[in-house]
Amino acid sequence: MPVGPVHAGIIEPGHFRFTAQGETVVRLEERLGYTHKGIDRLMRGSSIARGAELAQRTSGDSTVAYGWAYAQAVEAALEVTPPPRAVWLRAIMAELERLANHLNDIGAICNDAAFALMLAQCGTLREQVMRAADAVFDHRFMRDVILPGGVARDIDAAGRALLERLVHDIARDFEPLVDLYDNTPSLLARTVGTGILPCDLAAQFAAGGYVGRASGRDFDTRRDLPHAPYDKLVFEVPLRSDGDVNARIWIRIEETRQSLNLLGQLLKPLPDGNVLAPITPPKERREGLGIVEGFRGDVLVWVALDGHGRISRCHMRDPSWFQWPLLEAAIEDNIIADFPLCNKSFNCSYSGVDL
Amino acid sequence: MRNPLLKALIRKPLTEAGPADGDLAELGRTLERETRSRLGRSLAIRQVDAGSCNACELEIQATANPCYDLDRFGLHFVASPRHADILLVTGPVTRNMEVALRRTYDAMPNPKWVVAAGDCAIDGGALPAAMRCLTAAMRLSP
Repeated sequence: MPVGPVHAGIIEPGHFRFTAQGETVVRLEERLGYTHKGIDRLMRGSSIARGAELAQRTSGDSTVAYGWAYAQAVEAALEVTPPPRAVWLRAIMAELERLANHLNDIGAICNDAAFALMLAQCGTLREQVMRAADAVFDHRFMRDVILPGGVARDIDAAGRALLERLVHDIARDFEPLVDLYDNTPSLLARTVGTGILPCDLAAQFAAGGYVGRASGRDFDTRRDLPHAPYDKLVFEVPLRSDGDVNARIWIRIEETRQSLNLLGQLLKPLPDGNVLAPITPPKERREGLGIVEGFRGDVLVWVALDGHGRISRCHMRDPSWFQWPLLEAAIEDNIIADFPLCNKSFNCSYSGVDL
Repeated sequence: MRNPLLKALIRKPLTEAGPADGDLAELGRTLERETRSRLGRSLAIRQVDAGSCNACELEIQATANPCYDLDRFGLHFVASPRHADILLVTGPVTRNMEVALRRTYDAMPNPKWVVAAGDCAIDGGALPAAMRCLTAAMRLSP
């Protein structure tokens, strides 16, 4: 049964081939590449600033994670340390991005189980996050704010107050929705035991993010490869081993709570100082690596600079590289009608993988 | 279940008022006039991602959230191109999406319009020199 690349919803294009026995899926083949834009090729010969632009247009929902990982890679290559205030602002943006995506997806997964109330409620919360991002960082996805060397925009006292209010409001409105999810048996009947990803497969594929953490892979870049400012913050990394759609939702609920907590910590002692360190392109070949925990998992960026301030090669590895093959395994023995539910609970990036 | 539904009964609606005056309101009136005279009904939109980074999709989805509720203006998204009046294209039109996009367009009944949404679909945006892209969804229209 072929599906796609044009799907019924407003989502990215991909082609899926199901082999079914009655209602049960016995095999799924994914065919991607529809959004291949040649980003790796565009990177070659680009300036460092243009590279930052391209990185933040690779996967729109992870704009901040890509921007930060790219900036880390360039800073490592140039041996530049961004100012503490810039690092703090990057973390604020990264947590806002995580919050917006988790809120939206928790609602969207429930909507795929025909529980539209949750999408409406979560969509409203997500909208509040996006508006706050727009008000404080001048862009709903906070695009082009992170630059190699720091950030392009500082926040003032009013911006900080606005974000503090946002954290307070979301924390207040989110908990009743968690109760709603936990106390709706008809919804849980769809999510519990659906799309189970076995722990050994998650470990074998090194699946990051909520996909890995819902299947027992205890890894979070923020804790295990700590970089500023996460080395100074207190947070927990949720872990489950049941690996079904329900487990992935709970990991995201828990991570939403952790992000709210982290934002509270980040907003309190904002370091003073400037937000952008000057960068001078080297006269020799350099290489650098950056890794940042996006909402989906660890975004890894490797960049090689030539001696003329240009990028000779750059590759950005989306966490979805390791998650797409696992979706094929998780859907086996489930009914076709549960595919949207499983797919949304993974929510892999098409554009980030097609490049 | 009871709590959010009860709350929704007593609090103000989350949906915000549409634009009352200004360019946006004028645009809305013009669109309504045009669609009524040409189609005699509201607009059905089929959205196709032709290589976007998924930010456009998230924002188009957001237009249906309770704050904006696009449906009340007579603009609604449909699953099948057979039901659509408008093909809403995002992304720079990658070569791999060219055929799928063309087929979606061909499957739509006349009269039909193509609308490019976002910088990439309009002029290539930040990816103007992308080797694999045709740029400008507008090329689709005959």
